[in-house]
Amino acid sequence: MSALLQILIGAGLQGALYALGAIGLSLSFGVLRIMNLSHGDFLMLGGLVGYLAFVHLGLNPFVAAALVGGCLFLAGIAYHELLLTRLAGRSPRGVLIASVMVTLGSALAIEDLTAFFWGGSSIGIPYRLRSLVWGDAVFPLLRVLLLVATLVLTTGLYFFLGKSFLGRAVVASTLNREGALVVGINIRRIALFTFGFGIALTGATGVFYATLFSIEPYMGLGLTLKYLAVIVVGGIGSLPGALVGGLVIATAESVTAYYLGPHWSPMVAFAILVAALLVRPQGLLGRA
Amino acid sequence: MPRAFIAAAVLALAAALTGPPPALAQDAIKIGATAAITGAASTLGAMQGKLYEGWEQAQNEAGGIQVKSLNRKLPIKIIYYDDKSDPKVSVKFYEKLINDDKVGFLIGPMGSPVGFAATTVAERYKFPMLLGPSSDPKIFQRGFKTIQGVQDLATEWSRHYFDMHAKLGKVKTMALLTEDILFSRGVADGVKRFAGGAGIKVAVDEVAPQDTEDFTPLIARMKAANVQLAYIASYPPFFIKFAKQAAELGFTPAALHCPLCSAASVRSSLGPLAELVTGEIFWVPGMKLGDYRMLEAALQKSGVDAVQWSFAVSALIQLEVLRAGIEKAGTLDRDVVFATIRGMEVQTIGGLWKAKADGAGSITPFPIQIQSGKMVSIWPPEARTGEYVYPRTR
Amino acid sequence: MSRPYRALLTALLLLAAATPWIGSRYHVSFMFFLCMHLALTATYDIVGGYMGYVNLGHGAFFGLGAYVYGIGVRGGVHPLIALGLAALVAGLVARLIAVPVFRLRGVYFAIGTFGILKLLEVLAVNLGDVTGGTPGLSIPPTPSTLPTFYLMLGAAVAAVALNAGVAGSRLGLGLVSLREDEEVAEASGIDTRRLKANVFTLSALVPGLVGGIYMWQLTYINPPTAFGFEQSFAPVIMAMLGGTGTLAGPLVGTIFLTLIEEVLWSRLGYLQLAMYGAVLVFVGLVMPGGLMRSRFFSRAYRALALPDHYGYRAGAGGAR
Repeated sequence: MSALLQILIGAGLQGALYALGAIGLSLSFGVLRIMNLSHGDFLMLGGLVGYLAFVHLGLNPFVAAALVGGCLFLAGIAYHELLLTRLAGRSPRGVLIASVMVTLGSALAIEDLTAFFWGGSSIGIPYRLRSLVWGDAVFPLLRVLLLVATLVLTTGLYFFLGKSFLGRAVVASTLNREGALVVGINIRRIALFTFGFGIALTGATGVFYATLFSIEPYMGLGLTLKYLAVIVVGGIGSLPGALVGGLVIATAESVTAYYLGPHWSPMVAFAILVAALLVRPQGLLGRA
Repeated sequence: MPRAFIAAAVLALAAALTGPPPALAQDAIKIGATAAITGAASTLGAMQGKLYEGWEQAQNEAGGIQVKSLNRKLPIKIIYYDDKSDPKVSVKFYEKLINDDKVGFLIGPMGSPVGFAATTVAERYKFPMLLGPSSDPKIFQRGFKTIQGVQDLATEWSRHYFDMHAKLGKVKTMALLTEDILFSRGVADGVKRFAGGAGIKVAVDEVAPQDTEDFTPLIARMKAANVQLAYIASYPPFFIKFAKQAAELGFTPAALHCPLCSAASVRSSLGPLAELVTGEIFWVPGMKLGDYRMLEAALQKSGVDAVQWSFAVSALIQLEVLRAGIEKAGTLDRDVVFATIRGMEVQTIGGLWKAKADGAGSITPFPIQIQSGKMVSIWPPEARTGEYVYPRTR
Repeated sequence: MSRPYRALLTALLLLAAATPWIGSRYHVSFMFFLCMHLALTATYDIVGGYMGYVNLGHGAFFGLGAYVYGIGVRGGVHPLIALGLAALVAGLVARLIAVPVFRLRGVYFAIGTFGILKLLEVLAVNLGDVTGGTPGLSIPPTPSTLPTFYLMLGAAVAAVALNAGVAGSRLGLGLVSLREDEEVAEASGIDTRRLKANVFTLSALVPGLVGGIYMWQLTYINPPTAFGFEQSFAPVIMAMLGGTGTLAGPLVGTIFLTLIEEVLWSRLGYLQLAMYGAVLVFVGLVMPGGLMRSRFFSRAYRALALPDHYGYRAGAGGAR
């Protein structure tokens, strides 16, 4: 019983991490309708920069994450401006094809260039916080803090999008592009800002990836697919959905790993993805 | 004529005429290989190219290899390509090495999946090929006549380690976690056999996929089973994640082992957590077996860290064996050299090498332990540079 | 098809068929993989280009074919029969998943087919008794590479012929109208559900065959090789590069990209993937309709006065 409890706790914490990484993808896809296949690579880059900040500047991961967030916000904007803005005016299928090419090409280029300059080895940040013990259950402090951060962020973003002017402008531009333009919303700036923010968040997640796990140059594409699963299950464009999706997938993976064996868990995540796409493509919390 | 199709025709003709770079001078012994410089196995082999170049330089500065039939020493030229850890890329390049670069000898790629495919080229062309870091038993079970391994089968990997524990007698139960890749599975098979021989019970035996992120269920099992030894048969990234989470969850077995813990990424990512972890390595600075001087020269020229890139270093043993074969056979005739190699014994940097009946070699790595951030070899007594510390107190 | 065009294609085909005699074994190996890519790309484009459904999982049929062939041969089945089985099983699986998968549209379809790829990879890993699991499946090698070379050449020809055949037929017309507006097509009386399922199945047969031929030649397959991302995306990228929904697009895209890879691999030891990626980004930004729709080629098309159902029209198929 205590093992199961520990596993559920682990799944909850893991789900929060998934959600944190997936929010950026949810935003870029929900708001911008761009399937960004290079999403996981920005996570990797964030982890790399965070590692460098840790090693050379002595910053702890939380501070480094903020720094990385700032850097990658700018990088995201640059990326969007250089590569993605051009795609805006095309037909839906045109955007799909072009964004697949551009983002996939970027993903490959980023992975290979990173491997070339960095070498093939994996890197990680050797930073640890203690674990809180309560009876039989162990709560690693770092992950708990991440869970809290994710909840705060998700709630904050939710209210931001719902209540603030800028937030509602973002939502408006996805629901009705022409209408938003008519009302005077600067769609282009909104798109840039949203995308940049999503990338910043992803990069920050990368720093924690480096601390909790490790970063390899070629990890990007696989992660992107996992995050796609998370947002599809939870609902594309929905922020609480990212959280729900993360929890669902993490729990399914952990429980399967414990009862059936760990080699079945990747199957679970993708079976859920495919099932979700078939049964309820808009996800548990998404808009139709 | 329509322009588009002229363009297509030109492209197709260009494709047909694509050829390799011009063959090199005849006056060198050309040795061909592919290496995992990029791709999945690059965590072990990214520096392979540099090591080959370093060894080539060191060997040529020593005058080259003596070929009795020509009555002189010839320099060597190692031609290698990046196989991107992809079997079909490796196949392409081995065909190229044989047909276009016209190499005299072939040595093997990094990793067993690639080795599997690459050896079919050797067998098809009846071109003898040495194998280094590709040691899965199935490679040698196909009855191929033209391949010869330098390393012993992956299953023999931890033989020395379990010898040591058998003598120590302190470990009674262990957990075995295998990353689902070819190398680890081979190693794990051997581990189960050795454990039985050493009187150790394998209480937990699990296989987990490469991209596992949440190890909680597995660690929960291991904690419940109260094991003294946790053996993680995996590549470094997998082990790093495991070790971090094990520490988080308060799982601290008396012995923690990962065959590839020698990678620098393990020490840099785990920091103090890497202390007293054990693993295996083919050569540690300070060991004086075989032609260690040439290895040291090669390391110095290439700037590669022998400890972190132990697998890549082990690939150099192929060159030692090949050289010994050429010198003993006295000729550059491939088949004669190979027959000679099969029948002889050579002292290499990794210990004594000789061919085994099944086509594998005899080189197994030596157990090491991370002590104060440095690699110390701990067994057998004649090869060790330090003492094994047990238990692994935090 | 105009006479000069047909003559040129025949000449190219004869040249390709003569490779084992006029070229080195390396050229034979190169042409083998070129034909493989061509076969996969041309069949991808039937669903991806004419029908407009971006099937990111097209490579799954290849992987299935390779495994079926391997399992068959190990079970004592004759190679040619095993090849037939490979194609058949791929087609069957396509037919089975067509019904659920075509409930998705647009991006969701792409994501779904992407997911199926990964699903198959995990299955290949876990059903180790049948597939050999992670270590993979190997079969005894054959002494000569000539039969497989010609088989692959044949597969490529079949794929291109299939592509052309569909394009020029009523079937193709139906596909294009489906792509342009599915509801209107349905309203016009086209049974879209049956059309989608049939075409999907059709497009899976040749990749299955190609997978079998690959296994025959290379004698080894493992889950990442069969279902990995890079090789599964390759046909999609090549088709997009050349121009989806055009006849020459897959051809040009495949040859162009394979050549670039060849040149880069041989001369430069590093950064092939990065350059591949750069090419993709460039084409995606500048000519998303593919090479065939760029100004250079469009003039040639107009000169040829090819019928519109090849998908050429300024902006058709994705460049709008």
